[in-house]
Amino acid sequence: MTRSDVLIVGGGVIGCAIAYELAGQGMRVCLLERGGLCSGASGANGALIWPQAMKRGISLDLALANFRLFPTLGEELGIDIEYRRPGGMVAITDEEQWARMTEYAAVQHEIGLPAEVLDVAEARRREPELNPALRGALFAAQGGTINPFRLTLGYARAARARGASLCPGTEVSALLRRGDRIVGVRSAAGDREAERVVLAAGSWSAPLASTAHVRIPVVPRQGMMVVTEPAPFRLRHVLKPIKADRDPWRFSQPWPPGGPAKTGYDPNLPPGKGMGLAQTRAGNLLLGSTSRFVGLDLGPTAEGVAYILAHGAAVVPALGRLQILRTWAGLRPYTPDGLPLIGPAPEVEGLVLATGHDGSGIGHGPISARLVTAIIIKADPPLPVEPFDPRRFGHS
Amino acid sequence: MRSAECVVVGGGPAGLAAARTAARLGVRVMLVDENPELGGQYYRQMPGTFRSSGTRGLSKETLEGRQLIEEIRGLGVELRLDSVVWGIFDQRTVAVVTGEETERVTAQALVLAPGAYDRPVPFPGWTLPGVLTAGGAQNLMKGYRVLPGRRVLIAGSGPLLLVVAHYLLHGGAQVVAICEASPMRHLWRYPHRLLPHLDFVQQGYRYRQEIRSAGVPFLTGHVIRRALGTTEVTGAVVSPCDAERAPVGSVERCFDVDAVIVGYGFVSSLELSRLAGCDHVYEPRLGSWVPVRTREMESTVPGVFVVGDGAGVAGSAVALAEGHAAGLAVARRLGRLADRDYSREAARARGRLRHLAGFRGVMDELYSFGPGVYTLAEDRTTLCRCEEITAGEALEAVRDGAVHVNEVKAWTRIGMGRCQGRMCGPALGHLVARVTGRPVTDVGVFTPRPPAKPVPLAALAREAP
Repeated sequence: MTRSDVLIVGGGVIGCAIAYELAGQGMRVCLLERGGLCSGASGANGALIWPQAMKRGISLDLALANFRLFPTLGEELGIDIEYRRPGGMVAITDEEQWARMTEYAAVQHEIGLPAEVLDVAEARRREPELNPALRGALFAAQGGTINPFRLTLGYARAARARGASLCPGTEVSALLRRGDRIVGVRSAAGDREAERVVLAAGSWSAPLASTAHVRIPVVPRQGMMVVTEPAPFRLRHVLKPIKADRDPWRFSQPWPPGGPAKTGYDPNLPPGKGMGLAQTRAGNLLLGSTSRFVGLDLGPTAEGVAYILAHGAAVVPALGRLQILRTWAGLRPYTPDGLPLIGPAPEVEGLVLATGHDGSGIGHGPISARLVTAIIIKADPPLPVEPFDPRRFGHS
Repeated sequence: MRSAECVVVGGGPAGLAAARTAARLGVRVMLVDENPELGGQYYRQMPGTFRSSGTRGLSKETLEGRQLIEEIRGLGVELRLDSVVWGIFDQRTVAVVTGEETERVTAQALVLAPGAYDRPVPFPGWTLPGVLTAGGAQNLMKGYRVLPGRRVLIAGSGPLLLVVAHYLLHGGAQVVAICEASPMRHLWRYPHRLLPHLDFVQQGYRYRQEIRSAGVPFLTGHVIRRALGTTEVTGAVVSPCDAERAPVGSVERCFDVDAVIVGYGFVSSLELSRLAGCDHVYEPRLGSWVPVRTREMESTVPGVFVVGDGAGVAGSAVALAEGHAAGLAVARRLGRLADRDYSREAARARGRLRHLAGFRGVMDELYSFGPGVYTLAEDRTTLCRCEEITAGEALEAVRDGAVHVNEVKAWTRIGMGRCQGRMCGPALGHLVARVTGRPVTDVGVFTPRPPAKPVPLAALAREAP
């Protein structure tokens, strides 16, 4: 069996995108995935691409890098990834939120992500299905949707066309360590060695890293989703039901999960922050999500589903006439500071991490792949990589 | 949220039998069914708006069912009709929706009797108006007294084809042919095994005589190739098949028809047993996954029992006997039946099941499932009816590297429609297996998630306290 230059562990959007980019640099790439491709968070999300940032800095840079990549990515991969950017609306329910969103819109203008506060009449003129009882809505031009399956599988197919070997149904049980070097993996298809191993296993990265005594701070954060039958109406925007929290854009949770909570915040009840409502091309409405730390549990609960639906129906009352086809849960790989781990793993050679994207795997997948590739081939990265360096957390 | 001693899901023969046995022994039973009337498929009662003078014209099953239903009512079983169990949480908590209200009920014992449904077999023209399944045709004729057509071809495998023909002839339709995929050979091997079941055999013989007298061609070792027509079915093409039930050769026969009834057996409804977390195993002779059970009808989840066609299609007599066996086990579990009495009754129940198994064994061999029926679909044939996706698109996904049905689903949207894979799942599994040269047990099944069937959003947005 030919020895690969790079072994990638994990066949979600991150792993498949990296396989594509590395194969494009002439490297011999082998990707191992224990289930089917796109079977983790990449296949369990709400299809929203809505890059957000509060201020100038790396999050804003990521958001802007996003904008540049997505419009032509489908063409590059030879597949329609169904990327649409109609803009998004955040539902405003009361005066207090109205005041906050007005401040927020002003800040957004300064950093180049245009946003407008609309009163309910104007909001409903642009989005007729909105609840007339709302105070208004914040319109943000960067809200959009994508088909995460076609994106991930599109990367996979294009990677294979470039000669990469992608092996689903092949579980990696351990990283192989010799001294201070990761030399390969133990898998269902035997031991494989390579110059470099890239760990892109999302919520499963930490257990795998620990098989080589490498500790990485990635923890699964569960989110539930609901999908309805195709609706007889068409939403013109992606929507965010607002949450009754101080900071609707970036939730803040205690680290480590189970550690001392921030005042007034309970990480497990009620199911928490970050809501979205998007419509598929076929017309189904995707609603989510919740937030809990429950290990690798993939089971939706009746309470979580009720929570999501109540919020959704408060923004689009017409939802109440639809039937639900399916509920599920995904596991977002969460890190202490909300930024992914991209770069050399702490304290060992030969292992590159590309994980911890929390709820932004789809959105930041393409740019992450280019960052990882730049790191590996020692070229100039499209963005500074220091903010993502896995060694930023100090000790292992 | 409330609790119950025993919840039975499904009001067909198996569920009714389980409810009756448990209730007779003093268990408080809640019986849930999605229909407005009890009876399931086999004991389907006529709609309430239909009238009949006395019992004339009513089938034997309708009358048997009516008796059993009346007994259930008399035993004080709590009935939740027009109600769908959409989820099972924490092993034995069922979520039930009725209209726009949902409720959760935690059961000490849960009996699943969801039944089975017609095996969907895609073939060219199968989506034309006028092409029905055997179960569907039976519903139409027995339940609603409506003929599916006047010139009908029947194709499939199993004793139900004869029953369908009987009802068609009885209703004044012409049956242009019956195409039975089994070669029906080696019947001479069976007499000694059939001797204890003369009642079933006589019934089958009577049906055969009836179609013979009516001059209906009975073509064994034949399968349907195509249904012809543009806006509705006008013709049907059949051809010989091999032992795997795959079409062979180029000899074809064409019939003028206005309806085609297709019946290649049944597959168990597994949504609830999968949601409950039960282990399943694939039965090649049935061509279906079935829940793993003890001889007490208990699944691999403690306190969850699965009975009837939902645990492997075996007909109504077995369903009644299994329901009874589960009812006994439930009563013992809830302390209403002493161990000694349970052992005695359970042994009797097992004896009955053993007796029935003799006949079932012959039927399963004679009408064995053949994976060849899944070669009938051509590239242009619709595979996923909900999303209108062809077999060819599924094949393309496999060529692009998909090895698991979930990957094909991700690529093509097969299984994302209203039926969530009930119609396309079995066919897709066999297609991926055949094309990748692997056993069907290796290609996976669609991951089961709630709701088991589509439910109103309004119901789930409001949880009853």
